[in-house]
Amino acid sequence: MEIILNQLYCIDNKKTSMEKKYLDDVNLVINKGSIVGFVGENLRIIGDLIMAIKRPSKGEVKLDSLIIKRTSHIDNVLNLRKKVGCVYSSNIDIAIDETVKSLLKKTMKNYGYKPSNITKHMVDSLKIVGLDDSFLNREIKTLSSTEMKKVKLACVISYNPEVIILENFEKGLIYREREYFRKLFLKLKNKFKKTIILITTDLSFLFEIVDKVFVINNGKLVISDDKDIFYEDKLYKYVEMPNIISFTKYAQQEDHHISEYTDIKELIKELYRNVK
Amino acid sequence: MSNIKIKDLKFSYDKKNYIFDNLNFTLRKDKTLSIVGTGACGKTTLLKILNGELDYEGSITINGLEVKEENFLELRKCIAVIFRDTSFITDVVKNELRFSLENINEDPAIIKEKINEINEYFGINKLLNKNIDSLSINDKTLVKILSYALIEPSYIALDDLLDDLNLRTKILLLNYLNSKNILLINVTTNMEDVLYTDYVLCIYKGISAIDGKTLDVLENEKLLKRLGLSLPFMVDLSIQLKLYGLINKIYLNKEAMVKNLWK
Repeated sequence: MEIILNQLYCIDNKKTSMEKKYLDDVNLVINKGSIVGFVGENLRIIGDLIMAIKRPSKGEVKLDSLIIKRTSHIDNVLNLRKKVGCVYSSNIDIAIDETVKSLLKKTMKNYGYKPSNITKHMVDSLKIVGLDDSFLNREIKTLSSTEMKKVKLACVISYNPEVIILENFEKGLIYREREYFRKLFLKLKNKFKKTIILITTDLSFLFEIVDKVFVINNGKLVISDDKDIFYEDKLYKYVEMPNIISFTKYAQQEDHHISEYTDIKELIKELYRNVK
Repeated sequence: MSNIKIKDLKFSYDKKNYIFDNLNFTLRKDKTLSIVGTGACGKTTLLKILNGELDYEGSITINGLEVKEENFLELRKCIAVIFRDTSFITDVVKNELRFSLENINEDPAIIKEKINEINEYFGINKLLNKNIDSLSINDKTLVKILSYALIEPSYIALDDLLDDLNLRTKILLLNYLNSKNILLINVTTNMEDVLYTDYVLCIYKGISAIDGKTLDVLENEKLLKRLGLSLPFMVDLSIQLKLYGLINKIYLNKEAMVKNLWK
């Protein structure tokens, strides 16, 4: 599914003291089967707009042939929502009295997905995110925050959507898990042609895997560029510089000619070659 | 003089799987602490225990006070624990900051003075009259932490909240806590933040896998990596370059590192 945001405005409670600006004249295209990174505040709205939970104040969202405007009628909302899966950072919408099994079952039923062997399908979904089948009978309230994150992703994967949106997914994961999920997202993109939208504040989670980076500052789209942007100065007006980039830039400033890397092992090899 | 002693801590939610199995740890006086560990190892549970929310076996004392129901009133002055899902009580930033002080029956003149002080320190004049809902994550987190820090407890424990602050605010906050003699206990998965504290406790399978002074712990690179944790960038780089024989000690700032690398 190709996603186009066309002159999109999204502002809540306009001209009151409660005014909240999400998006302000944003134009962008998210291609089918790509991984894009969004950096900025309050970007959960992207997921809500694509799922038509929230309507834009002005402008339009184009999903293939479907156009969502402020007042346009959508014939079959379920058909649209089936294609999109969101993993948000808040857990407010999940009932804590359920077990993981009933949560997965409920999600698949809600989105109208009927696999032939439902138990195997549930176990497989959990396996993809790195959890074993003992989790099926765990109650939601006994899960830790990182396990909860993985279960939410398993729920999304279980109904096989075309677009997966993840908000601050890397927060709270340790290094090994971060690397696991970065590889998983690449696999989902390359093998299953999924579109993956990563909303984050940590650029190092996006290194190497993203095709495009969008930076949204105070509602405006300030940067929309491909993955080479990580080495450019203009990005760091809005986002904090990852340590590895700032080290390389400092060394270059001091007239040492080293190339730029986003992987620490490569950087160490480069330093070794350069210093020796 | 503030200290925390944890002795033979045993805890389980269901009486079968023990999350802590004889955990022993002492945080010496006037030192700050980072708690790290793999997912679901009990970092948040430990904070809940310190906050007195859960019954446990063994003994925990904070500033000499046992963590049990009789001491809760005094314990609130010793430790403030803030979780990710700790919610706001009022709607406007100013009221939120006042609330915690009014709660301990502080004099209105002192409340005004204290709020003015942090207003100047953090430059949050614009935020004071704003609705909390309309703030950015950085500001929200700052308000949440400050509303507890105003009470000036001996320890303030944050459950992965430091990660939500941007670098400038983070440094400001750490300096503020330092100036008020509030000691930080920081539960984190972002290993860069470990460098801000004096001690590190790494929990694995119910016991302390490794604890001690921050740099001593970080030098156990192999153990930490086997647990799936990373090292802070500068420490990792220093250790690797030391193996290659390019430098001979750990440098924590890039200026010194670059200077010593190409000498």
